Amino acid sequence: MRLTVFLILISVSQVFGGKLYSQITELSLNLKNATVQQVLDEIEEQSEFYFLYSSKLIDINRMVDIEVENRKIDEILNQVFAGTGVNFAVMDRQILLSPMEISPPSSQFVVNGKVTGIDGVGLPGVNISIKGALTGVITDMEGNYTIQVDNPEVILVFSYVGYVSQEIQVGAQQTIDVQLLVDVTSLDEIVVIGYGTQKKVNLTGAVSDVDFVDLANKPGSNLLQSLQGEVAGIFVTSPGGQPGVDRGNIRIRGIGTFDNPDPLVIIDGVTVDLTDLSALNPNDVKSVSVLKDAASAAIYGSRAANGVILVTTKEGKKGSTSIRYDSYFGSQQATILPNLLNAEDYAMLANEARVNSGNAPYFSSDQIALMMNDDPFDGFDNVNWVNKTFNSAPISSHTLSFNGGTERLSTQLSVGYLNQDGIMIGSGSERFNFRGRIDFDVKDWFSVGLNINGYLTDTKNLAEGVGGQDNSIMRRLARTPPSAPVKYENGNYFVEFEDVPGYSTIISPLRLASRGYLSNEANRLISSIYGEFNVIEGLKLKTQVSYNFRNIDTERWVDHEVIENDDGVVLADNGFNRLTNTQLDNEQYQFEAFLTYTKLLAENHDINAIVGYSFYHDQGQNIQAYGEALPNNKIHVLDAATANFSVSGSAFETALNSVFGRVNYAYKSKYLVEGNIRYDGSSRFNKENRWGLFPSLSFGWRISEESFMSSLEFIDNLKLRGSWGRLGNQNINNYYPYSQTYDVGQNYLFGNASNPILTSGIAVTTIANDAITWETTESIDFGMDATLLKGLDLSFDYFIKTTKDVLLQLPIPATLGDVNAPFQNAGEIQNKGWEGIVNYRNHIGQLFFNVGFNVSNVKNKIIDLRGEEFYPTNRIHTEGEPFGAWYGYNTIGIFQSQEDIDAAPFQHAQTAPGDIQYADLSGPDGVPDNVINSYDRTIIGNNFPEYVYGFNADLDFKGFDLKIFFQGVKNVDVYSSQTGEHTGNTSYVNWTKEWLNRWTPENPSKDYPRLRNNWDQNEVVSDFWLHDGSYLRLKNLELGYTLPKSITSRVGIDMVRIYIGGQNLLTWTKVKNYDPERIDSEIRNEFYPQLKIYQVGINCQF
Amino acid sequence: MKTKISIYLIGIIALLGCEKELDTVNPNEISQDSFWSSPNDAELALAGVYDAIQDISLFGGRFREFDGYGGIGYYNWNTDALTITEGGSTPETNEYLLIWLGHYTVVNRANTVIYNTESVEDLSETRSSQIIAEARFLRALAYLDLTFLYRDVPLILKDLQFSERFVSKKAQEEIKTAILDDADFAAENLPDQWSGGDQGRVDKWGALALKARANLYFGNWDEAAEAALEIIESGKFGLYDDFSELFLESGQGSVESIFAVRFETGLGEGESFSGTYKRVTQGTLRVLPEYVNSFYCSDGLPIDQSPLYDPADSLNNRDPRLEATILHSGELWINGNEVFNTNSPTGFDIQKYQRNVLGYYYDGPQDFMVFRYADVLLMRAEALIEMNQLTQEVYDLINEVRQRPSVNMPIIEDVEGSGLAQNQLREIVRHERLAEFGFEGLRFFDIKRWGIVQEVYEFIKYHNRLYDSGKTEVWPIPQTEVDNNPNLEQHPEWL
Repeated sequence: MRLTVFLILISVSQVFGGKLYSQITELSLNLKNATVQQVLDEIEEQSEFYFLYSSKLIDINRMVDIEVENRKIDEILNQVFAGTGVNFAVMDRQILLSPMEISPPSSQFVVNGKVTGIDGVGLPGVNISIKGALTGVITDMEGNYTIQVDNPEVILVFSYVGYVSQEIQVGAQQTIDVQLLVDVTSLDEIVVIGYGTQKKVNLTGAVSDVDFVDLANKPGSNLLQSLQGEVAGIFVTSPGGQPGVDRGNIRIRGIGTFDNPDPLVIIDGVTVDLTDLSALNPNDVKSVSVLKDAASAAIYGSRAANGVILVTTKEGKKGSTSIRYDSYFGSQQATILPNLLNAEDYAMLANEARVNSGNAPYFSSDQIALMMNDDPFDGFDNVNWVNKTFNSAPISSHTLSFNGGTERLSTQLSVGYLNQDGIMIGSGSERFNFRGRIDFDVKDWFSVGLNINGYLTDTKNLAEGVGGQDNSIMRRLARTPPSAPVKYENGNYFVEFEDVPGYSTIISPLRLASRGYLSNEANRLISSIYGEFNVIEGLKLKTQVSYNFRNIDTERWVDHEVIENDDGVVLADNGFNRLTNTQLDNEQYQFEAFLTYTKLLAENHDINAIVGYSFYHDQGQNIQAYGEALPNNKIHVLDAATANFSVSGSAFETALNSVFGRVNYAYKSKYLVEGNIRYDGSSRFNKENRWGLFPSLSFGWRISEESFMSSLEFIDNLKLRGSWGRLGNQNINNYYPYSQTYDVGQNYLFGNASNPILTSGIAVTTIANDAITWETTESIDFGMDATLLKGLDLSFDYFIKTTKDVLLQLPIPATLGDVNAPFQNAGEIQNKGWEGIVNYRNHIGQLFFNVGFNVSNVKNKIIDLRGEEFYPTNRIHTEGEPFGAWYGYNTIGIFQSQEDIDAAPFQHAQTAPGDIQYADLSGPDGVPDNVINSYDRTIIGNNFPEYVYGFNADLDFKGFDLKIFFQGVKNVDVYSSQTGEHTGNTSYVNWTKEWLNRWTPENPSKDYPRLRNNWDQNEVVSDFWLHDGSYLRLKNLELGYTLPKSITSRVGIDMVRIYIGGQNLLTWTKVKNYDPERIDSEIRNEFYPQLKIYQVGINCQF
Repeated sequence: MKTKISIYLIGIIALLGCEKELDTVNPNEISQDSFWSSPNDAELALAGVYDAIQDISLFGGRFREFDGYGGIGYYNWNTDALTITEGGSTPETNEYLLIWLGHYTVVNRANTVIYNTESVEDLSETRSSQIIAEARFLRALAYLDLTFLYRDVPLILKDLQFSERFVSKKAQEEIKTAILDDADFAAENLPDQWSGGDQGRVDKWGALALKARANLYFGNWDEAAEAALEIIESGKFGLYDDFSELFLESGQGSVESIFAVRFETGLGEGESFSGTYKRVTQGTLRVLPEYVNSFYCSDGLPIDQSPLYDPADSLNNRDPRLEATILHSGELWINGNEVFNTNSPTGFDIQKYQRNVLGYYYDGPQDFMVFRYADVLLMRAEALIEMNQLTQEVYDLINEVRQRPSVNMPIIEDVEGSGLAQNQLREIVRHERLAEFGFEGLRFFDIKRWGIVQEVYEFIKYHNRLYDSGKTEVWPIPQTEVDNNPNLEQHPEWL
């Protein structure tokens, strides 16, 4: 029987040579009284051959003697298996052993079928054996098999390396199609690590990996956010669901730096950035590894202190060709939108705020009546601006990929298109991804490859952004009175209430969105080429050169807006239309070369070593040009501008030079030791402080391999590990922090009064610090990994991460003038925490399930700030407290009577019943002084969650699959004030519905204070405005069905799966009106809402 | 073959391992190491000091609106300034920090010039001392505001190193000395006039005007009168005939202007106070009716005494400076002939320095006069009155201001009479300042030094103004300054 088997190994990037290998390789063996297994092991050790066989079919315990010198593999195997009925087939380095004779055809019937993976693609080389017998078959190239069985009681066992075995009783079935699930708990699992791969069981560092075979079924537009809840120890915050602007932040094991806490991101060995991670097509990704401790990350030295994310993309498969199409369509809406007051209620509260402040009310009762009638053109109306600003919006994604290869050449090509409209007016994005990867084995000892990854994004945004500015849409959403009509009868946007003092500039969200835009076109190319040489046996040299390019063109346009009311009076005229074009060019190149040495020194002593060199260079420039007064609002080119031209530009350059190495030693796969070192030089520091050394050391002990554990059969694997290491961070957003410079452009006008001359001026605008150097993070990690009962995985890590010499832009006195503070190596921050993962995988008959839970806890503390305190908006960095904790006054409640006020510490001269009562905690002498002042401020809440967790359940049953994924955070506070949550301090601002329950003499509310204009006292930063931001969210729910092969194969399709699903479908939280998931610095409710998406999709493969 | 290639490659790698590619140079800015070597470097740094006084927290924006604190206008919009005048502010109110910061930017940039200029080779001794004098003038100008707003503040008179940044407060007396020293130095070292491309720099007369103002503020009547007299006797300045035009672009650089902060559109050097936009002024400050009422009728009598006053046509027969100072609904203003469309709740807007052409709010072209001749005349008059030297000169000085051709108000002798007592003349000069300098940013300083802040605030009925004893007069050290500087203590009024 001839079998042609091509084996696809999971996760191993192997350099395959040609048939030549078996023809040129000669081996010498001298084994007496050895088992067949020992002989095969010896051959595997001496050569690159490896054997595929089932020990049920081949008697490997048979004793043989063999003595050969410089013989080819065929000859040796002929000698070993002479007369035993074992056939062997040598394919390149793989040797398949199978019984010469299949069991005699005495059986009563034939069973056939196809074995596929979860993606529906046939698996070649799967063992199908009859339980309890020594007979079996192997699937062919397409995964088909035929086996003859004696009777229906026979149980077939389907087994395959890296997959969960399945047993099926034949019964009456003549066709048994089987789908095998990848065994993620497999002890053979390979994990991508820095500059290589490692067997998971041999890991001594803290590495989490996410297999995208699973995540591909989680249709999201943003890979970065897909990691939320999937990996223990990371925390992802999201700026909302704005298409193309939803990158988000990721924190690996807390936060240890003040400036840029982004992790290092590497795609296929190429240094990229976090934006690339979110713009990558998730369908192109094979796996993501997150390096969390110093042991795993020290090989990246000075850039690894915030953790490292390694992305591996899909590569071509040899020997087969396939076309795959993945697509989904969805409908998006906001998870929650604020419930703001209608016009009548708004007018009542606005009047009340005015009257409480001793002013005349804004609106008369006649005007309120005009609001609530049906005439939109009588000067007043009742408009729900939230409904006008948000709509449900479609999203669709298409990916077409081509995969294939011959023995020496393999290719993966794909194109992807994502079209995502925004739920908010004036927003939306399109993305086009393309990718090509070629791996070419030119010679047995030399292979090359090319990897190109690119994307184009076209994002439409509002001219003044979503939030954070007075004319940003989320602020206008709440600051446009619901009593304002949308438009005049003449079609112009409504601008002012004629008889309402102070209401003269209504900029509604619709008016704002109609008068300009900010469009952003980004092109990105990430490309690399590599060559790999086998220098001598065991020693490989890999070199990789990469070139990345990014170009971002932004165009900001503001219309010339002229608004007349119905009487023809011009109410608004902004003078000119305005156009700003900005172009950013950024290119990086990287050169890396490293030698990898792998050797089994003597029996049981396994050594792996890497030594390498890396150079990385990043440079960029931007140019901005501006002009005004274009002939009309349709021409958007600067050539047409006629006034107020201005141009500006800047450039930067940064370089990193490094050598690195790693030694890995394992004794009997039982005792593991690993050391890493990297020596980095950075252009960001001056010569004296430029170089840094970043070592790490880690140990592992696989207790389960000890003989004393062998009796505990339920333990498949048990490993303890510990690591120590030092990492660096140089990632400050300033490329030349050590050199004191004068900034140009500080110009003035001299000369004749009517015709002045622009005279150049300079000044210090940023203070430099020439002693600046690396931030250093020391990290200790203790971990435990266990696999029990063949399906229960447990993992636990405890870590302490201490960052010293933290670069701080310590706040400087304003008496230095309007200058940026310099960076100083001044701080120390500690992150302590633990991570736990439980995963259980099994099946009940045909129902396969996998349930998992992960949780992480991080306690963050600032150890040293040189006695300084500083105050990012509404927060504080101070010694002994968590990073950026919320800082303000403690509140006691709301004053209900003048007697309460008189009895309480002095609050403010104008405090009256209904105002917030603050607690008197301290005073100038450190003790309460019976006066509320800045000494009474204290830590009022957490800005980062104490716990981040996720749990998932995946079920498969006869073609149906169900995936449920929950994610949550616990013990975090969110701050929200002003936008919809305020005491009336700012006119125009509408209130959320809850404010109907504000304090009034008739309604002595304990929840909301009285309204008042022009008074800060109820608005100062206090715990009154802080809310428990814990949430639990059904992030993803998906139900899929894979059509039976018997149907699809008739039309030549390998696999078709259809699914329905949704994201962010349910949320449990105490936060009202706004989504609890937000970027960690957000203090107003001004982020783009998070999205709830319903979708249908299809995956198919030809 | 493969060994050769491999060795070759390893060789290349070894060669690459050098350091020079890590030496990068900032392409965007000028390195300090190579600076202060040529005369032009000192000029560049000096222009940087002038640049700082254009800031929006100083003459680029705030000062045109400063008279809201002085009680002749109020802040119609919800700004920090409104909160301050209504008594609701705290040391955290941002306005206090912005104005503080803007002034200290001037101080530090000036200090850099004052300290480094002497070391520049090839710079003539004359120009060197002029540059230092210009910088010291600007520094003194900043400190005069600082000490008048915040009283005791850190006094920085050197090129402050980063390690010396925690400066403590100094008593106002020391700050006063420093201001007067700077003004003296500037007056002694600056030329009589600048020509060509140097016009617009402060000259000797600007320095003397500062000297007069500082001495007047500090009650050194003798020195104030002396400095003002020197300017008057120079004969270089006079009153510009058209009071209204004086505050337009066409009135820039006039015979009355002693020192102005320069602005121009389209060069990145615009101001943000003069915009008239959709037929309304863009400012946040509205003229109070109490101020409008304070202008006399054209017979020189207050409205409650003058027979010329017609409540039905209240703007008729008034001191012409009223019409030139304020805009009112229905006034022909846009392009000189179109109706102004006020949205001011009081019905009045500021006209001084207001553009009469429609244009965008920011990037305005209007210069702002820091010192003008009328001020010099009235400063000398006031100083003489306070010295009780009630000579004819006092009458002449005030009359000169009243008799500007376009103003032409009756002289003191004809209305109030002659041989007046000190307190009568004091009231006259104070009212003259009120009518002459409205919305030029001087009023708050005037009522403060006259000790009438409470009186003025309590007189205002139009809006909910609160006089908060001590706090209204002395601004707090901004809270972040107390937070960020361990050597800085809050004023007792604000604790």
